[in-house]
Amino acid sequence: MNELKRLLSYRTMRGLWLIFVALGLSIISRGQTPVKGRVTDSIGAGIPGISVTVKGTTRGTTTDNSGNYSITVAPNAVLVFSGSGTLTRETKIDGRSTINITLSRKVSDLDQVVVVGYGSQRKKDVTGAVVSLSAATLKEVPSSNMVDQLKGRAAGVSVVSNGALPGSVPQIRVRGNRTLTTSISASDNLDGPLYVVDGIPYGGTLDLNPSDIANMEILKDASATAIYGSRGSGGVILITTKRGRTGKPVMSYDGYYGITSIMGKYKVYNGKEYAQLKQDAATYNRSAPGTTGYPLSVAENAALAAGISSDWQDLIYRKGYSESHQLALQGGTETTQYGLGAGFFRETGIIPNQRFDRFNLRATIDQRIGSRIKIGLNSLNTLSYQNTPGGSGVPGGLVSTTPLASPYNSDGTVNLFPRVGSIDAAQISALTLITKASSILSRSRNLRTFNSLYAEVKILEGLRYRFNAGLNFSQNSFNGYGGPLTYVNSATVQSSSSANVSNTEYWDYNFQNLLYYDKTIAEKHKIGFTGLFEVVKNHSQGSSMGVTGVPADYIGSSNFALASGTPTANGSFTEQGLLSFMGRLNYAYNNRYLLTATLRRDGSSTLAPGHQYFNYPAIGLGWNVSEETFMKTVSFVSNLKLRGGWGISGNRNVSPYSTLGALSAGYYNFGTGTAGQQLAYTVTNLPALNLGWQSTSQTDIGVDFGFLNSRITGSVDWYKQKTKDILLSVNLPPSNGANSTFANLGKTEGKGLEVSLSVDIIQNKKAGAFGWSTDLVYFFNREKITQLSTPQEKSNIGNGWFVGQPLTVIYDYKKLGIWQTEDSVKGLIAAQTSPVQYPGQIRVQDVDANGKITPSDRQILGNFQPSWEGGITNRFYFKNFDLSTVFYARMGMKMVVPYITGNSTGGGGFGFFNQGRQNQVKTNYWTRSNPTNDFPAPDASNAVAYFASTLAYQDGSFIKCRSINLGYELPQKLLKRTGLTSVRVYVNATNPFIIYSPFVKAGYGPDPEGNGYTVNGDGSSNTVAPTGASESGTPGRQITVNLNNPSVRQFTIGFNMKF
Amino acid sequence: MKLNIKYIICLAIAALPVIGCKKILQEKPQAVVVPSYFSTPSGILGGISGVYNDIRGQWGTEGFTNEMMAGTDEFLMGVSGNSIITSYNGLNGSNFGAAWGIAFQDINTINGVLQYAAAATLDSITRKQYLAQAKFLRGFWYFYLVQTYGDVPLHTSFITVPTLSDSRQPAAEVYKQVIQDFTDAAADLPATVTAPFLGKAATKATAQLLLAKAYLTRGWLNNTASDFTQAASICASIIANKATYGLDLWQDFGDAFVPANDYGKETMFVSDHVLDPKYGYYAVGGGASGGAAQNLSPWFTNWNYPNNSGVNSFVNGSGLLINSGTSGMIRDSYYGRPYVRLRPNSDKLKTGANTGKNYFLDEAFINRDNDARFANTFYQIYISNTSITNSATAANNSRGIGYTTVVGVDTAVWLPDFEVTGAPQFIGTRPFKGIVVPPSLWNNGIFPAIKKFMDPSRGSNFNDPSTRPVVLYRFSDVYLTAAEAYFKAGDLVNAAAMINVVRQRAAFRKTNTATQNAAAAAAMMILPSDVTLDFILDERSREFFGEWQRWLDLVRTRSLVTRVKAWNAEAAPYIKDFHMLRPIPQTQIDRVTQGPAFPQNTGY
Repeated sequence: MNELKRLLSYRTMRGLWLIFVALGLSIISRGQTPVKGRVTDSIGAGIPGISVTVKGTTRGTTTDNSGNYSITVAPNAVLVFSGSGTLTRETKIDGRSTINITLSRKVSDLDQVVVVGYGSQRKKDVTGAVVSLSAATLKEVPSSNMVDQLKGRAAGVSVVSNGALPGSVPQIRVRGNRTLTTSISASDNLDGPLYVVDGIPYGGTLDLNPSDIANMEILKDASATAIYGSRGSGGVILITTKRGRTGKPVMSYDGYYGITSIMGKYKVYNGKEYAQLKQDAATYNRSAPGTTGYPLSVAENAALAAGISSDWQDLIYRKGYSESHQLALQGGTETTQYGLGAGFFRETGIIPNQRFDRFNLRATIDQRIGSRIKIGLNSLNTLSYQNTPGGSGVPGGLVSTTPLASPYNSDGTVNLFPRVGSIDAAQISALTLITKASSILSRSRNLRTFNSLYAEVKILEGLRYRFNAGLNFSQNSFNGYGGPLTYVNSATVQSSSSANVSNTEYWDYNFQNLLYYDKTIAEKHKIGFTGLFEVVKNHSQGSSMGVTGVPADYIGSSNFALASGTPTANGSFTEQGLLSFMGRLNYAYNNRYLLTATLRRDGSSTLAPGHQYFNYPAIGLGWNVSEETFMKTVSFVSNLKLRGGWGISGNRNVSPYSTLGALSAGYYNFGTGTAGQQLAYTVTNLPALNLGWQSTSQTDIGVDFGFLNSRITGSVDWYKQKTKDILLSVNLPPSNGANSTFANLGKTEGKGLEVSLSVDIIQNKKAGAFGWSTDLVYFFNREKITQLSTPQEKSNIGNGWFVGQPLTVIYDYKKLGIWQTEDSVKGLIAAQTSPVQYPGQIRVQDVDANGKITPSDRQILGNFQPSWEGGITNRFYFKNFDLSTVFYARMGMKMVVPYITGNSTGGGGFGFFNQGRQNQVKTNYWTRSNPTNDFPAPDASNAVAYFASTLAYQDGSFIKCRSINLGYELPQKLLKRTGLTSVRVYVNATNPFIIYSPFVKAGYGPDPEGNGYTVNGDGSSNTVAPTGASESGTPGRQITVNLNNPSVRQFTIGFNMKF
Repeated sequence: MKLNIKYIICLAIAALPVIGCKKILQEKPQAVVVPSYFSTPSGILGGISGVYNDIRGQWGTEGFTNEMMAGTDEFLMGVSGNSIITSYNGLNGSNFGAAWGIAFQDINTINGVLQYAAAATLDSITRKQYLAQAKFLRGFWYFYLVQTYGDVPLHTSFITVPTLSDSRQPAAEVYKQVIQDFTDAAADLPATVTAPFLGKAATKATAQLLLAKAYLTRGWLNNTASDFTQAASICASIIANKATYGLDLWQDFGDAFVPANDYGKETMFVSDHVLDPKYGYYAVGGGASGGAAQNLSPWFTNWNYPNNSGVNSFVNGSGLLINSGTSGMIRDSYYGRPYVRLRPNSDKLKTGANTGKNYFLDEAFINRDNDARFANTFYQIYISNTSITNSATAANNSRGIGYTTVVGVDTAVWLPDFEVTGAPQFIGTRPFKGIVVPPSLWNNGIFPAIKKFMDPSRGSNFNDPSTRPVVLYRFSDVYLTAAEAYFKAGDLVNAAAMINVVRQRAAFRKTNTATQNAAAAAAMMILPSDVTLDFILDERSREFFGEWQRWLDLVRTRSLVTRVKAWNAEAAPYIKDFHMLRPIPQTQIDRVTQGPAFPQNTGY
């Protein structure tokens, strides 16, 4: 290590001294001045072959392979720089002897430079599967979050909603899942992509202002991601933020104002129907037919007679508003470029007082010092507030509240106890979310500063040393308060108020020492080498406190000392380190044959000593077929490239200290006195002394093409990936004491096809003419488990894993329908001896036909892997108008809808579903006069119907319109006197309508996309375990549709202005 | 020039943090307790406390309470109950079993305690105490497991390497271990509670009682006389030394359930629940959602009095009580939350030998005049806690009068244990301000609720869990265990003597005169010839109704099926002999993925 450093600094020093000496020796002669310099592109790479001419003469030269030139001219001459792929620039010499020029590339797809791991490449030279998305594309869907903007936009990238609280971030997967896990957080960590902002890993995209993004590259295949080694297997999303540019200061303003509304309500019973449900629940009461423990209350009967039917959802849901204001300034000279940005985003929710506010401040500077040194700093600062009183589950209470109650009393005050006279009388009206807003607080504040610095030194011709440092700090504080007599706290006395605060501090540092060497030999052999030594450390420390008995609501969580209760506290601490070495070789022969080879070695603190290091090799090959001479005659092919790659990548797999095992810590009090207070431990997690790396090897074959002068462009990729030594939290047989342990077990496989196509259907050759272009993505991923802990093990029912099946499946009884009266007559029901069932109850398949439904009758009922996904973006231009539409689809997968199943507590699923105890989502249930096969007869005697879990599995397919965006560019003549350079006004509709969804059509919910998980953050489950099986029918990682905030649609008006 | 040098220096400094990179791969946890801590003296003590803490996650919680009481002769399903567990219809490996995993987690923890305590630097007295507690707790859980599941895995050493296989050992082996552990614990545990194991943690007498129960249970299983005599003599020894142990019966049966006496002389072993927010996991006003280690036992057998006590309730044409009018009661902490999971078995049987009778009033509590236990176990009177106004013209008000009830004075609901003419709105011809609900009108939504565990201390936070301890064993159990052992050993005289101690006490009422008490006591006396298995089981019903004993009592005495078939009309059609063992939790079966499959109990 120290050797390397010494070498580096020696080389650096020597290289620098040479430059300085050279500079010091420069001679100025009279009359004719020698001028030299370098022509670079916007990211600082030298451009060869640029012609440098003296204006008005024919004298000139061209730049060499590194972009350098020298010429002797008159001191007052004007130099013209031009090249085939660049815009032309002129500059007056004004006596200068060194003139460095940045030339913008002409936007030609192939010469476009794309960011790859630890550097950049011409798109032409890229051998991996990379999707590039520009800021313009992302902007077509206004959103608080860039992940949300990716829905249906990139082949191989699945984005699925998992909540509709202001500020929620959808789940994203690049090329599917690889890891066997049942927990949500683990799933996101293990299978989610790595975000890299300006070369430094970012983590958590909510803080990132989408308007700060200049460009995004998604690295999908292992030949591209292996360079990130142990963090690469979930794909890598490289984000380049806006930086300064040489030229006049340009100021811009982007802003929009939007109105959001729910996509739909949960369809519930109205007053009459609710009364009927209760009556039917009594009629079909199996234990005591004709009776119910949950009859209409006196108040409900009165309301029924008076014709009252309240729609609680109407009373609570409201329009949300969002606004975004982004100011930016960028400019610079040839040596200094700067960029400044300030932004404000606000989104209010459809539930009262729920909101998300974000303030961003960005400053970036790039400075050239002499001709060999360049340094820069980029600082992204975010302050955000998320206040979500009531949380995401408010609709659950709205759905269950009786419609047979007036929301308000006759004097206009809120009817605090709408369920008065029922067993749930203590539940308090949801209207307190509005009337007692100041008594309900759930606010999280996040302050983050993300800084990336670099310094780059050109040591020798073609040899550069670069140092990148990422310094990231964030602090999150949470304040919560729930006053009594509110929707969130149905207790009646102030001593029952509760307050909690928490504080988490997080920092990480990332130091990268990079050495680049680029050389072209004999004009044809282009060689590039990158070497890296990297150190990363993450640190997180937090504490939280809770107390009850806050004396008054206005105090909230501000002073625990005032509260009557004794505060309780919690703390957390984790640290992890990563040590990496990497080498990469790029070789291109005559622009035709391309080779990229990388090798990375990562060491992680989270694995067991002796198993901490792993090597990640990768190789990528490319053949630019269209560069071949034999292709020159095939005129309709403007570009054709074959790519292929193989590589191994991994993920950060286990959280710190997992290998050490752990005791669960608790407390016990022997007797009532303090003398009996003891700390209590049980052994719950066993040490995993051999825990090592999980790895994914992936092969990708792709073709990039351009036809008809690049009017049709696109790419097709086929890949296959194999993951082995999967790091699992393995559930152990309870009889061995510990519940789970970590182990390297199992293998999975995934393969898929991705197609991206862009067609300029009608080119708008001259300004103002009609133009139409289309982007199409189509992709699918097929994942499966190929091995569990041993080759012999074919299934692990406890965790829901089956060899040959996708990574998450539904394992439950198969619902055949509802037992009908004629089944009873035919003796079919009686043939089933256990459980003894009756007409109106759910009938499931008796697989082994032994007359008993036992856990062995469970079967795999489906999975959550779409048979295909896709998106289509259409863009139309006419005169000053532009219109874009985005549609996307996910087809052929199952979804889980816990709230049409029911459990006995209502902590998950739906409490007392079909029991007639509470109101609920409307279903087509069985009665003697309605012998349906959809839903069982209500039964007042049973909170959980036999095999109720089988009701949850629905067809999750959908086709949706994601966005429609219509813009108008104000004519220049209107702007002349305003000082504005350009103004575009647009209107946008996000999520305007659903084209196809069997789930929505059936009326079970407003949106087939998810808004929660099978298992909640607090560990409570949303699903009902299959009758006779203790483990849930679906793993906890699965996104589900719960009775949470419904999805929203948004209508926006916005402005883009440049000054 | 100078400027450039500055930058070079800066660059070099920036690269410095790279030094010391080896250290970055070492882990130093600060916020978790790692297994090595377990081998320290405080870790060992923590392990024992951890097991006690786990016990309170079972006794007093809903699932476990159901497991110990549902599907017996004592209880039918309440309106919010679960018909699978009360009727056995479709009962399988998902219905019970939360305690299975906890028991084995605790057994492994205890095996760790035993291993480490032997080696740790402890003084000999502390070591002895820790080892004795640990053995008691291991015996405790294995005794539960073997009674509930039969053959179970038997682990007596600390498992530190995870495995995905396990197998069941014969129940005889498990009993051997249980008896060994209780014997060792009884030898070394102190006579009275000793710090740090205060409150009503295990003592010598607790270990002896459980040892006697273990012998007795094994005796029933194998019909071995020596086990019965062992059990009887151990119980006799506890009784003989009751003064040393500080144990005795209260004069009044009701006093055993007064909160102030929770840690009194009759209480032998509890799982603690305290008001302390940290050590009791208690949040004022937090309510009780179930699932946590919260004592919710007051409420499972509570009827829905805040809603089903409609003042103008009436009897319809089919003879059913129809709830009507404003409820005369609101929820409060004295009467508790209405969970309505289980109810006393008061349905009159329509078929069989006991046709026309019900277990509750005609069998278990048939002698309610002399036996004070009925009155001390159930709420029969609900005193108005909310003032309601009933108008003469209100729907279904047949009293012909209008009135307003007075809080704390008027009776809102009276559940007499005999028939009352005119019910529910009249007593005879006299209008009643509340409602009268005699046995013929009891149903799954209205019935006498068990009051033994009520916890009025929570005041207006009536939704909060109880902070009273859950009493697992009372001293009267020693007498009745002894009686059963003597009975099986053929010594009916001693069996009757033991039962009579408990019955004499049961006759006592504070409200009676001495003469009346003496008369009642005399009436309660039984003769050796009265002692039968059914009598013993009925006596246990009277003494321990709702105290987490019934299912194990019926299983131990091999009477589950006969008693359920005889008395429980809901479960009778479905119960089979194989139900004498609970199903192995499906999780256990599903997760044994290596080696031989883990067998389910026969029949499931």
